[in-house]
Amino acid sequence: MTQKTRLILTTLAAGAIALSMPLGVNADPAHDAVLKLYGAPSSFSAARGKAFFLGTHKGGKPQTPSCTTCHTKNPRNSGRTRAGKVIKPMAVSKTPSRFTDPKKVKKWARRNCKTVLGRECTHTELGDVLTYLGSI
Amino acid sequence: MSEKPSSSVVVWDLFVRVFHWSLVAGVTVAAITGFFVGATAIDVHVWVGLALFALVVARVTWGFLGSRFARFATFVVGPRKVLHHIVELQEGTAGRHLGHNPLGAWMILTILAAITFLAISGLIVWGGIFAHGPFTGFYDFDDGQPFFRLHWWVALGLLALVALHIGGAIFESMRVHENLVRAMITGFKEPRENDAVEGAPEQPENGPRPGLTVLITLLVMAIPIGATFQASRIKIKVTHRPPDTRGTVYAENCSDCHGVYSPTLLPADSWRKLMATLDNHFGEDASLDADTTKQIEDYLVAHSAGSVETKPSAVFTTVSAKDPTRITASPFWVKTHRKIPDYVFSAKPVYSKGNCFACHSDAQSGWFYPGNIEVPDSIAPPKK
Repeated sequence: MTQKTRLILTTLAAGAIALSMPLGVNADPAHDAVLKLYGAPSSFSAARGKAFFLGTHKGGKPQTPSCTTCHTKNPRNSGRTRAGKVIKPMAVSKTPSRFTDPKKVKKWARRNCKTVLGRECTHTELGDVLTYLGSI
Repeated sequence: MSEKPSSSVVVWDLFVRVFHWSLVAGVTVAAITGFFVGATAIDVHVWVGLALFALVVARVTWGFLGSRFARFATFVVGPRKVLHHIVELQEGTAGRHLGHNPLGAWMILTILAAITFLAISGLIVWGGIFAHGPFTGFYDFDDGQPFFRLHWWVALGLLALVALHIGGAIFESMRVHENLVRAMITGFKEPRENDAVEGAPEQPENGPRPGLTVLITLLVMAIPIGATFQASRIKIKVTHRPPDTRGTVYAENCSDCHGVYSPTLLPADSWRKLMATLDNHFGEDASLDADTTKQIEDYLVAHSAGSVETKPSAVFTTVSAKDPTRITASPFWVKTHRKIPDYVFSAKPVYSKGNCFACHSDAQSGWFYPGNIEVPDSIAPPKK
């Protein structure tokens, strides 16, 4: 390996690390504390969370097959409940108070998982989604 | 007017003519809004009704202070003379009247009385059932109900009187060979030698007093109109108004997903059923911890339909047998929204039938005053 190649690889690696920094890393300690309820933050994947958030699920109520039914496909946008009420963006960058109150997170995780999947979500699923929503 | 014979005189003065045709226009609008358009036209109906009442007050005053043929003293006669006039009509010997004939006189008094009754009963309905106007707080929904029925029947009676009046005018026009409708437009009639005279024949000494008439009318009308504008300041008894949900555990929890429905929109049994099935709440899991659920249920049951004397509270005591927890399935809701096309409910910013708040600006208060309905302008029929 030449000096030049090493330099390029190092730069690429540093860039990749820098780019991946925001993933799963959140400035608000309250958000981190909530995330830790579901496991070690390093074990979660924003990519898996994104797939789960955008995915279509079975087993839940027929009117709501996906998170995106109410939250839209872009978590940085406002969503809307089926009754017409505005839901603030799920992306932490847009709504910094998201996922800072453990009671609220548990309440809505329970309700919405049952609505969309017909069951409670696993800790991994929740950790992944929270990581995804914290990353964008 | 150019056709008038030189011998014609002004029988119907300007006031009488303006009064007559304004009344025609007002009764027409009141009848259309009342019988056909319904609740959404309530404000137009009420203000036209008040205008009609003002016209009546002015006409009665003019009946004492007006010109010769406008004065009650010159045409109102007792029942015996009326009967005599009818007998003469049957015999074909009845004379022609330059002013009102005895039957016409009583038609006028009856119509004036009917409109007066409609104005007063209408204001009681407005206050009792809709919590608006001078009787707000003095009458509740239950009090308003019989007045609503009376108002409806008397209004129908007024239309019958109008039909009789038109028939009478046509009959008399043909009988005495003169166009009475034109006379009510131009004011001119031709005196004839054998004109029958019923009341005081000449212009009384205290000649027409238009200024005083206007003043008296304004003073009388200041009472209901002034009271209407003061009505919003009246503190309505707690049992006569929907509960204020602001700051309640109910509002705090339920408003995350939907507007805060007044608890008066469902009866107690429906609220109990609804709170027992929060895990499948209109297709969503809306479950809460047991404590909160109980607190909310107690609140909703305590303030459920039938708990207060308001119109929504009364009409929503009846629910759909199939879907007893769905407000929009109840018979009253279905009946009052039947003419609204589906696309209005699905369009932005309404999104669902459950979003009362999109069109009823006072939905959260639980009043649902029909004058506060406004379908957002942005909603248009879907393009084909």
